[in-house]
Amino acid sequence: MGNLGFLFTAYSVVWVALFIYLVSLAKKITSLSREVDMLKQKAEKSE
Amino acid sequence: MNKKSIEPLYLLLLIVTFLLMGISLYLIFIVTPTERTMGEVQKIFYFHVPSAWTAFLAFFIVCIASIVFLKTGDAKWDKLAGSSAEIGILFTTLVLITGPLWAKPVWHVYWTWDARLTTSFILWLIYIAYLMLRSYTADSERGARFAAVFGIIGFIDVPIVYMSIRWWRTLHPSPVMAGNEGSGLAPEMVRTLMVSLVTFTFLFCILLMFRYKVAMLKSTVDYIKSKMDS
Repeated sequence: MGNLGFLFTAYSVVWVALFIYLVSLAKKITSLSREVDMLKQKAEKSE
Repeated sequence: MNKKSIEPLYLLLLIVTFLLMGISLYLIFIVTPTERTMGEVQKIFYFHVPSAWTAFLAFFIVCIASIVFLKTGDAKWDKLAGSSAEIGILFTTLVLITGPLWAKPVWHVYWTWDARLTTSFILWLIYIAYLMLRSYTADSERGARFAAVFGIIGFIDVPIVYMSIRWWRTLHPSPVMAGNEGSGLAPEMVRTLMVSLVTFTFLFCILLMFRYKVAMLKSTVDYIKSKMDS
């Protein structure tokens, strides 16, 4: 691998890792927010 | 901060970070001159150093949040510490990947057990252990206190990593800023590095806000479930 290959690989790794982490956090926030709403509704009904 | 007020803040931070990222990449690849000895591969520096800075910042927050948690007993600080540690590990991992990719064409080896590399690897292991300790003792007040103490003690390695290239003779380059006489960077390189550092700090803020929100939502889910069970 030449100089540019190492440079490209390093930047790609950083971008891909950060993107995957950001997307996974956003997905978790969405699913947990839904779960909170659902549980709140369930709790209200049972009261 | 309620749900309605935090969303525009996320959006604003995201926009600013994306703009800064664009500016950083423009400066790195278009404006900043290529280093004479190492060539293009030296440009890894502009992501490698900010990743290390962000990791240090994250572990500093773990340390401060852990101290406040031990003082106040407020679980929010414990969640902040756990969230920051996870992001710190992410950025330390990036340092440990980008470093060898830079080292191979320059030193002709991906890895060598010199002081800077070894202490950085130990730092990564310390906070992996910290997260493992947290996950094995989830939802336990005592476990959170153990983790807080671990988070504070673990931070001792951060100044050791920083000072390692000053204290020991290493293969890793000497500090280019605040280093010995004769060391230093061209002004264009310093400017690009500064912009990259600011960009990564913004990125860290966004990731921390997202990760903290996940931690808070998880604890809300657990709280409602425990209320429903009882």
